Amino acid sequence: MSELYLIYKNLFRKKLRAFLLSLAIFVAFLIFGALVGVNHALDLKPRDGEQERMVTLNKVNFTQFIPYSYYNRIRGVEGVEKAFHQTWFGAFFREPKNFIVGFAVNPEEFIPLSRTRYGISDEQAKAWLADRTGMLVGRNLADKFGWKVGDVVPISSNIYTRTDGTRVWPMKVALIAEPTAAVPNTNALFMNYEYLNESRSSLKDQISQVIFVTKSPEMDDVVAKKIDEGFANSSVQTRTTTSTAFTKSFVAQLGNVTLIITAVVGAAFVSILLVIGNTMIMAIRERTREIAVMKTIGFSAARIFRMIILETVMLSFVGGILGLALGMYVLVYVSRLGAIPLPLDEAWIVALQGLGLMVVLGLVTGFIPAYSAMRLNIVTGLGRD
Amino acid sequence: MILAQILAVTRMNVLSIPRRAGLSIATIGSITMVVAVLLGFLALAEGFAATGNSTGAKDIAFVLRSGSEAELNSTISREQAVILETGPGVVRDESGAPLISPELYVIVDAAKPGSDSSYNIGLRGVGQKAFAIRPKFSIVEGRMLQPGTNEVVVGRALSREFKGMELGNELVYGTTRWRVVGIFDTAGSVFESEVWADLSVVQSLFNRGSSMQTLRLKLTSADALPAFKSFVDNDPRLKLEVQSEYEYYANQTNQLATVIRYFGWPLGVAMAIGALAGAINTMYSSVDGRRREIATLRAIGFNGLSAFIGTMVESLFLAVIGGLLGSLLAYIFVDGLQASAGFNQIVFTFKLTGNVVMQGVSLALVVGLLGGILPAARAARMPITVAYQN
Repeated sequence: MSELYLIYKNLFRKKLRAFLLSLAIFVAFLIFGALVGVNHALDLKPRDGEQERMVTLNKVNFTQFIPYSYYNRIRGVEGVEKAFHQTWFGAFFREPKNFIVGFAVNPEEFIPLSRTRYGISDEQAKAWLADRTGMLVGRNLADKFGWKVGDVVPISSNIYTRTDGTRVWPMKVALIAEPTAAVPNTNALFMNYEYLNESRSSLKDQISQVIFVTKSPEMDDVVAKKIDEGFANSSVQTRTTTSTAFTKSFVAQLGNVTLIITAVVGAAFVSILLVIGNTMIMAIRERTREIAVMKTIGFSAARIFRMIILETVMLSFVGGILGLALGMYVLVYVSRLGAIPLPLDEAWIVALQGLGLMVVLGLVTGFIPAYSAMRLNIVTGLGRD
Repeated sequence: MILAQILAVTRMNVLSIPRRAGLSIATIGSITMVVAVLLGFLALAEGFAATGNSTGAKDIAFVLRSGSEAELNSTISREQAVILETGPGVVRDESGAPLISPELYVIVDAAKPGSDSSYNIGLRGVGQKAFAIRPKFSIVEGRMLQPGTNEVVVGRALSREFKGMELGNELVYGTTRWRVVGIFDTAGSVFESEVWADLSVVQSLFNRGSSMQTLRLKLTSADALPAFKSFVDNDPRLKLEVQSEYEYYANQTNQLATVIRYFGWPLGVAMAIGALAGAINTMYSSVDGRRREIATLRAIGFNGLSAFIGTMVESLFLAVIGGLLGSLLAYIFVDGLQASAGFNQIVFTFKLTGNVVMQGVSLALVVGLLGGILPAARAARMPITVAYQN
């Protein structure tokens, strides 16, 4: 314990220096926490204990449509257990700049597959099914525009026009979905497909996607193949994938985010490695005589080595933990805004990686000064000014 | 006299940098990283915006269904198009036909080498007038597509960035096979990231009947746009939005470019704070290492100002080297890099413009300036007695 105290005293003997180094480390881990978290979120995996959803869409591109009749055919394919369909609405509220992620779905089949994802209660389900102009609204979205359950709000589409020539679909907020572990960014709305289809002037009976789960995960590949082969000779062909694969390819449109993040975090760490490594070399050189004295009074070379390494590790924890914490807070904050779908219950992986990196940083920056202190000859050490 | 003092001290500061080689390299290195990262993002934004800004003409009226925001969501009927061509300022050719181009823009999947994701690219159905209203359009390889056939021409940028887009290849969309018969160039515009096919063939393949998504009308000049716009606004049959083609593309790409800049700057500033901590540390060490030297100079009559400026110059000197090295790194690794981004992949090249480099070097100078001030103040106030301490 007294050794730790000695290390602590050494570290903070020059308070300003310790503060500045901690600040540099703080910034590097802030960047690490915020960006690596994003990277982790983009590396999508199906969640534990939840069966992967499958998606069938138009083979040409996901912005193209598939005929409604495909929905019924897919439901009839052996192995498909539950399914619903959804159609991109291009929703906005009043002004096109108030863009909303909005889909038209068939609630009676959407609800059984989405109960836990959106935390839908029996009462809420009943309220939604009772009104064909009703919609499910995510909590973030409701808060953004100040909507409450029961409000009727005008939703427009940037794709569809109504048969009467108007563009606005009045919709009633039937239920508000609170964030859940599976869907933390509740920024979407789901309206009733029938309401859209009976009133849109174009693209009648066309849907965007069919989403389903199979009777068991082992059947996923077989079922997907069966569906796509079934439509192979039709005018509209399909592509069926897991929903994570689909989301991954959607995210890929942004550019190679993973590469950019790796480069930025790499640059941040190269620079603090340089700063801290060199400062520590200098700091230990200033203490040459002291170390010679410690050796003279019986501190072993191994112990000197250990003490200096522990000092740099301690340094990287001081700034690192604060930086990591703030970085992850930034990430959580951004995730709440709905910018990225971060599975927050897995944030501890990022935290663990960060802690590991702090240890590595401490070891790497401490090695050279610790090694030269260990090798220090007492006589030359005492002689040095 | 004071000037001579300042020069002498500055010289001593700078020439003694090798004595503090380790720390000085660390400062330069961390500033280098800051500048390189910031310039990477700014060059990305610049290149992306440049592609958008070199697209479209100011004398082409670009018509979308109102509220649709983007080409992809818009629809314009035949009837509306017929009204539009009678608008004021629309140029007519020798035969008296209006110079207008109805176009249909759909998104299809494409593959990139080294990635198993599918990417969104634009497939544009065009008529013959599409080429007439775009004077920068030229076929650089192969030949022009023949109307009414399943032939396509592919933008030069697209053919470089994506798989299977070479001359002679076959593209399969749905049940239709298309043959690439030409590669075209439009002087670096967004169109070079697209595949162009015959309008009527795309209409029938994608079940669009005779509808189009956008209509481009060549006007007598950019000044004719306001009159044409009010013509459209005043006709209740046309719930359409008019802007210049140039304006549309500039807006589309500048939005993303702005997002990239808003991402790059905070990141650059955060890293700069880290580098600043390193710089202050280095400069304090510099002043501490030369305590006796500085005090001795004070004792023989040099004033505090010369010590202050000497230290500031040393700090700025390190920062400028870092800034230049960072710019060099960005120039080597980032400038001219080709990439594609956006919902519909727009191919662009990173552009390290002079303006961008200035922004990076300025950030480096700010780090040098802030990093030097406190240590320089300490140097200026160094008590003369230090000179006699052992």
